[in-house]
Amino acid sequence: MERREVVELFVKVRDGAPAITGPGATSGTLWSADHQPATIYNMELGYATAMCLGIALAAPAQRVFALEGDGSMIAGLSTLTSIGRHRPANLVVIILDNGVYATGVGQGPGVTETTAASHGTRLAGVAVSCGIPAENVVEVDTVSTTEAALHRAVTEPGPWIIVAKIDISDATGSPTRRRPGVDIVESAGDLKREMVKRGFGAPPIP
Amino acid sequence: MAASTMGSGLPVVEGPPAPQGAVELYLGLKAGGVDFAVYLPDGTLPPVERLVRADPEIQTVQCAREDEGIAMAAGAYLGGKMPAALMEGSGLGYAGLILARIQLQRTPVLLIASRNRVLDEPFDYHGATRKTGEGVLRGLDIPYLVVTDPSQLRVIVEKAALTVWGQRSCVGLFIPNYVIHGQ
Repeated sequence: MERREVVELFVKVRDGAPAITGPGATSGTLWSADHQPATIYNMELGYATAMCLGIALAAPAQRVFALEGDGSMIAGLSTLTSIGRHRPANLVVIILDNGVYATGVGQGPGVTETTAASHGTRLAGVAVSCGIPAENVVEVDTVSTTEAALHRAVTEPGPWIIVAKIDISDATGSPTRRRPGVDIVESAGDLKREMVKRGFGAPPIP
Repeated sequence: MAASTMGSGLPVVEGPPAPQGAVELYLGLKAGGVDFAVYLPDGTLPPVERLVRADPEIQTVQCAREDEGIAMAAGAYLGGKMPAALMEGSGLGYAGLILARIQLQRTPVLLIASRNRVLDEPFDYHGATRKTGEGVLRGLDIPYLVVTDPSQLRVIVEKAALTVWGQRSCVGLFIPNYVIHGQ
């Protein structure tokens, strides 16, 4: 399964909900597939899920999506324990797990640096061990199972952890990957404004 | 255990009475409009955290690491809250990257950190903590104060919070142990 396929399935169920993507290829892939204003792209390694957890806790009536890579989720592993502790029903974490640091500078076709997910770390198992209900933790590796998992995630209470096993066909390195057309400052302002429009908080400038 | 603040107008908390410094800090958070608090317990701030946790108007969550907690607090701002993060100063050492990011994208958090470089630090094992807290904020040009006078705590916290929301910038307050727990 390719990253693009997972992102396109996510686009179908998103319904404009706020989303934060981790660093790397997923950001440009989502931008290309369907940009929505409530999106922060390229969050720093290890923090996309934590920031989404904060949104989810603050705005329980709003579904929130984190799109992480396996490398970023491993860097922010403690957040899985906090999700297990607080269990927000409106949080969906999609981990695009290709087992490599796929988009770093200096990597190119045929060159990969592996994450711990390639050496025995099973993120779905970690999530369950952190107290996230096992029935809400799904590992998928086909389009049809991913589609089914996403459907459940938007129709049943979470928190949801979907570990989508993807290939490394787009591990082409930083120089050639697609990039979002908004910068990190603009996109955070856009997400904040979208949340205000939906009734969550006051505008930053009254 | 007895409820310690019943009848005082403060939230009812279990355990020993909150020291006056904790009460002042809590009242400053309230006056500054803080309605979301994320914290990781340390040796100085738990009396404040107990008050905040007992206040139904402040959504209070515990994190597992301080940098994660700051990211959660920034998310809470995006979700419509006015967040504070309470921690030991050592946690700011973990948090350089996420603080830089939220400063850039103007997603502000009020930072309340125990320990500081100068005052009331008798233990050698807090040496690294002393260096990293103020060092990180100075390096990122995040404004901060070391609160030295307990009688000023309430107004300083309130006014710092107003700067956070108005300027959409993090502001840090370092709280020496004696400011919460007395001499």
